[in-house]
Amino acid sequence: MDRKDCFYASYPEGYDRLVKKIIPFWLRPAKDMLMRLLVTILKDG
Amino acid sequence: MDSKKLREERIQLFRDCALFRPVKRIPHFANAVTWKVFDAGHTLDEALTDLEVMRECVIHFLDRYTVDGLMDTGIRNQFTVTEAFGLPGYYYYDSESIGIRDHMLCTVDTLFDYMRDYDRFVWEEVLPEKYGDEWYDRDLSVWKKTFGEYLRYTMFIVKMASLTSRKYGIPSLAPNNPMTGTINFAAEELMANLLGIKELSTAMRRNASLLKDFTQEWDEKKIGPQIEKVLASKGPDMKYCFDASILMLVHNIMNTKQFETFYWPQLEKLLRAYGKKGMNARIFAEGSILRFADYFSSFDRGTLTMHIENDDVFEIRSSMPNVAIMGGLTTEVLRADHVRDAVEYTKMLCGTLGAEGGFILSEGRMLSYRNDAYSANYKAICDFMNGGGI
Repeated sequence: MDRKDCFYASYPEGYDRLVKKIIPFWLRPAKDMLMRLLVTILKDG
Repeated sequence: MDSKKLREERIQLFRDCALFRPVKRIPHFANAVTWKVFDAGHTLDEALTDLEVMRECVIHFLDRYTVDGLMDTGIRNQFTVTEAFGLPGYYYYDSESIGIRDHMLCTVDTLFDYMRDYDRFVWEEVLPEKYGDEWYDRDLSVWKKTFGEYLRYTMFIVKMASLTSRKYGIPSLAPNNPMTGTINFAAEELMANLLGIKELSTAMRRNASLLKDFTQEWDEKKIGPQIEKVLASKGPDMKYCFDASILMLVHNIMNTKQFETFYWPQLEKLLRAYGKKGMNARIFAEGSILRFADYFSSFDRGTLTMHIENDDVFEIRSSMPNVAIMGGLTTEVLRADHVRDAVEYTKMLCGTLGAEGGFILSEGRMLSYRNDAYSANYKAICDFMNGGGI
C-alpha cells in the first residue's frame, strides 16, 4: 500500500480517523495524552 | 517501619544530603537497570518481552537488596509495544545486551519543521521515513494490538510505581515523568533523536548558526515554561527526593565553546531558578562531566546534586565542592574479588565524603550487564549501608 491508499496517512484527518478506531470510547477523553506517548514510542523506540 | 514512614525518612535523607546537612546514615540510591534481570536468573530477551518476568526481577532485587532509591522500576523499555507494531525500531536486544542505534529523525534542513509543526511533521514525514512503505501497511488489527500493549505498558508503569512505593518504601525520584513532560534540552534531543551523534557532531561545526537558533527556540519553547513553573512554585516538594531530574549526555561530544553555545545558557537559567526557590536538581551526568566543572561551581550548596558516572568521585568533590555528589561505587569495587574489599571501599567513601556532607552512595554506572557487579558484593554493600557489619 502507498500513502494515497492509506486511510491514516494524513494529519490531522487520517490520524483522527485512526484514533477513533483504536481507542475505546471510554478512553477518548484522554486520547491526546495517550496518543502523545504512543507516537513518541513509535518515533523514538 | 511502615512503607510510608520509610519513604518519608528516605526522602528526608536524600534532601538532607543534597543540602550538606548531617545525616544519621548515608542513603544508597541504586543505579540498577537491567542487571536486575541477570541477578534474578533471567536473560534480557525473557524480561524485555514479558512484563511479568520484568516484575519478578524487580521484586527479586528489592527483596534481596535494601536500597533507598531505585533508578529503574523495570519500565525503561517498550519492546512489548514496538514488537506488537511489528516493525524493527532503533532499540535492539539479545539475551545479554540492549542498545540503541545512532539515528536521525531529521536533517539539518528539517529541524525547524519538526519543532514548529511537530504533530503533522512526525505523522506525515518522520514515521513514514523511519518505517518505509510498511508504515502505510499496518492493518487495523495491528494498531489495535499495539494500542492494547501500550495500555498494558502504561498500567505496568503505574503498578510498578505503586509496588515499589507501597511495599518497599522506595520514594519517587523527581516530579518529571514522560506523561507530564520531561526536562528535555534541545542539545540532548538533537543527539538522542533528531540528528544523532554523527550528524550532530558535524552540524555543530558546519551549521553552528542554524543550530544555535534552533536550540534557542526549542529551549525557549520547552524549557522556558519549566523555568516559569519553578519560579511560581512554593519551593521543594517533599513528595520527591529531588525537585528535578535532568539527564546530561550530549556534553560528551561537545567542546566547551559548543557547550556554551548550544546548551549552557538555558541550562544555567533553569538551575538558577531552582536555586532561587531553594530547590534541588539532580543531574545525571552520563560519561564525564569533570571538564565542565567550572560551570557548576558558582551555585550555592543545596542547589545541585550531581549523579556521576565515569568521573572520579574525589576529583568531582574537589572541583565542585558546592555540589552534592551521588556515586562512588565503581565497577572495580562491585566486581572486587573479595567482598570485604568492596565493603571496606564503601566504608571509606562514607567515612570521607560522607563525613563532609553532600554525599549519596550510588553506582558509578547504570548497572546493565551481567558482569557489572557481583551479587555477593552488592549484597554486602547494601547490608553494610543498612547497619550490618562486614
